[in-house]
Amino acid sequence: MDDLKIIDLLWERSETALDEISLKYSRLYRGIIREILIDDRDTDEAANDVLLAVWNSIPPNRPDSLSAYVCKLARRIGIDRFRHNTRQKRNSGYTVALSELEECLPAEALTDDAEEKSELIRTVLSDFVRSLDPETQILFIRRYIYLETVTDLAKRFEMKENRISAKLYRTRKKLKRMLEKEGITL
Amino acid sequence: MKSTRQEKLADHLTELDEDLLHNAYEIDDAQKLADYAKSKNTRPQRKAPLFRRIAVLAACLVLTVTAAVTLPFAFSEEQTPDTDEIVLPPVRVGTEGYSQASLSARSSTIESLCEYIDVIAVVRVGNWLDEDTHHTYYNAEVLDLIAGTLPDQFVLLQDGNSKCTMKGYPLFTYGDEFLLFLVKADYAPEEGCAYPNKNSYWIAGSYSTVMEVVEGENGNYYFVDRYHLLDRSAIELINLKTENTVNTMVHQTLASRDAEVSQFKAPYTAIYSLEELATKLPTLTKGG
Repeated sequence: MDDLKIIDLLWERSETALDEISLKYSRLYRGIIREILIDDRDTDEAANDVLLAVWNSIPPNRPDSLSAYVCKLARRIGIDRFRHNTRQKRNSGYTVALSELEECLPAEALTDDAEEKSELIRTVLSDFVRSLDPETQILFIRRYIYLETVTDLAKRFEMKENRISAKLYRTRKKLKRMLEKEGITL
Repeated sequence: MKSTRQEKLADHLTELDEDLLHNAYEIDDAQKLADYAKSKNTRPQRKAPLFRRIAVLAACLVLTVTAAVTLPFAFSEEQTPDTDEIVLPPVRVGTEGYSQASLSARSSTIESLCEYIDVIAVVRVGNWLDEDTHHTYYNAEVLDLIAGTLPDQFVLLQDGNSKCTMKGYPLFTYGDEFLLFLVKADYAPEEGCAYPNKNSYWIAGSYSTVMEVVEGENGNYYFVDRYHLLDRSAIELINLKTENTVNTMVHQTLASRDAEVSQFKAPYTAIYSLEELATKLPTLTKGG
């Protein structure tokens, strides 16, 4: 079933929509959550939370891209649950991706006005990702938003892991320079 | 729980425009990625045409001279240089002629070279900083670290200066990218020169080990060995010179890139890929 039809069903409050989302996107959202939480039981619960969040937020929302919408919800729910979990799970795929992102952070001290600048940051990040060459753009999003491992990316795109790692390394450095240039602190 | 800075960045990344996320989701195999790259292949030229670069340089010189005459206070000691200002070397080829380098046997093969170097890295040359009797100093930025450790920004030494350079080895200029075999500089600066400092690195084997970087289509990186150092080594590497498409692209790119370098008609006998070097070189180094 196409996404528009699924969204229409949600607006009609038909639970069939949730079955369709589960059928079509469970691999996507479960994959993201699993990389964040590792634990299967946590993943199952968070996956149910994603469906509940979709049900509760559409309507009023009518997303242009259901896959992106589900991805965002999965990340938010996974991260929220991660933050409430114990430090024992700090070796998840999410923390590995986070440790790589540390290289992108400008040197400036932590400031409290970051939230006020969130729209600016969102714009800068979107512009940055759009400015990347097509291959790097896809690799960057899949690594840091869909949380795919470099090994999985190498298999998926039939590339060598070294090449992907090198591209991501360059991109993180470039993002750091961009954030510094824009005077963005986090 | 308070978010870490990385988590905040990750949160902001979640808010990327949905079309970007959707697109990345849809492109889920090698063929789709290749098609997407092909459809978006509007990469800007690496450098402006030569005449435009000369015009920009001339304009910069005029502006600099004008400013120096009319605004002397702008160059007072308190003034810190604009970080965006590009500083080019005063000349590319020595004004008093060429010198000869006596290369050490230690840098005659990749194996012997790797025994004494500290770092292998792909670097981008930044601003010209200074020169002493035998060397020129530049800001440099690390693009890829292949072996060893190196600060993101460091001071790069090149043999030669504005008076005397080696034939076929002009002074670097802003934006040049090379794969370099580096050694930390541990000698004291000459009087009147601020470099080398603690973040300075010199190029092992001088010009003979410098590899030029060419970015091909789809983000592939190639390294061109002008003096086929690696060719004389026992290490087995795939020389892409035999691939006509790559060979032609690399030669065209290098010929159009830098008038100073291309006039020396370097043979460019070997072309290697980033994957190849990034995989095999680290195993030869001290830390490998």
